[in-house]
Amino acid sequence: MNIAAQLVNCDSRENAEIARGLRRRDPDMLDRLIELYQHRLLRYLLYLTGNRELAQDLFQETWMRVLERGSQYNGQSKFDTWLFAIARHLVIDNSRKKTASSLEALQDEHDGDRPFEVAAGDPTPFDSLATVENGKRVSAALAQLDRLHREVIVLRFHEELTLEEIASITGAPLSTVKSRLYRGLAALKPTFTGARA
Amino acid sequence: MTITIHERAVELSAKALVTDLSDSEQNWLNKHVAGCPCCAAEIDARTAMLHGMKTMPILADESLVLNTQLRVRERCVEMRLKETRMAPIWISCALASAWMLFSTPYLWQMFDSIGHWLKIPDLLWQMGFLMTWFMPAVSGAVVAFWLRPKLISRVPDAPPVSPNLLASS
Repeated sequence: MNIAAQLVNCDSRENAEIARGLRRRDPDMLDRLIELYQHRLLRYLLYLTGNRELAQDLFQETWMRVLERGSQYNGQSKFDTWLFAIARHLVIDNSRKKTASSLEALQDEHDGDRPFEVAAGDPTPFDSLATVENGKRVSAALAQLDRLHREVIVLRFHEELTLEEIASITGAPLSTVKSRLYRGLAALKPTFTGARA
Repeated sequence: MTITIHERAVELSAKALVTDLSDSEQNWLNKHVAGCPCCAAEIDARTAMLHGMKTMPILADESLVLNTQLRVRERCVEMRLKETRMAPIWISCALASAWMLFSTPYLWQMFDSIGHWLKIPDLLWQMGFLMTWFMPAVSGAVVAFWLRPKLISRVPDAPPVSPNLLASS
């Protein structure tokens, strides 16, 4: 058996174990999962919401939802994909208790807004978090992208998910994911060409 | 609109980040980048920027993690408590349903015989049958309702929380 096959087997065993733990509502296993995915989940929520406080609330809600819906996870897909999909739905639910029902609709509503703009005096979530110069530049560039493009860029290049996994999380066809990635990369172009100049 | 070879190179390099390039595309790109420092610099800058995303220290606070773990544990206990409360109700329902299924034909026959023996109208013994038929389910619901407050007071304490969780809260 080659290394790739062994890794896949290892992953599927791990996912099956997580699924069993979630069905049992094993609190120790949930503690471990929360610790394991803490940074990735918060980062994803922060990129989606642009608001640290809200991202933290949704972080907790995501894990409550994982506990409540744990029996729905069958262990056949990767746990992080399922986790991010739950988080994404919560972001949409939270933002769209008013009208829209998707991130696309959310995007339409916020066209022209600056989603990361917070109350005066407060640093933006990215500003307060990015401590290195390069990080700051990247943060600023990402903050300028719209949510849909930012989401796929982050999932692809930060979380290093496959296109199929991103499609599963976002519920969008593969072609749409690709197209969002191309557009996101194109939108980032002025930033990196500017930095180079 | 025509695109320049430089634009094509940048487009292909973006495509390479999203999906695999064909051999011919990859060869063309490699050849172009080798001879064009401008495109090479642009592609390097983008790669550096995407790599820079990983260096951004967006981290979850320890208190957030500990609070989440506490909330999840509390909810676990609540859910188990709810399941414990619901158990007698489900058992009563199951027993009542099983009893109904098992006894219906015999009961019907018995009411039919008694009705004819006593010479009472069919509607009357049929009503009696229905009342008896529903009796186990109604009794089960009453018992479950009666047991409910007692079960709540008998639910075991929450599982112990690890010391580091307590220290932080």
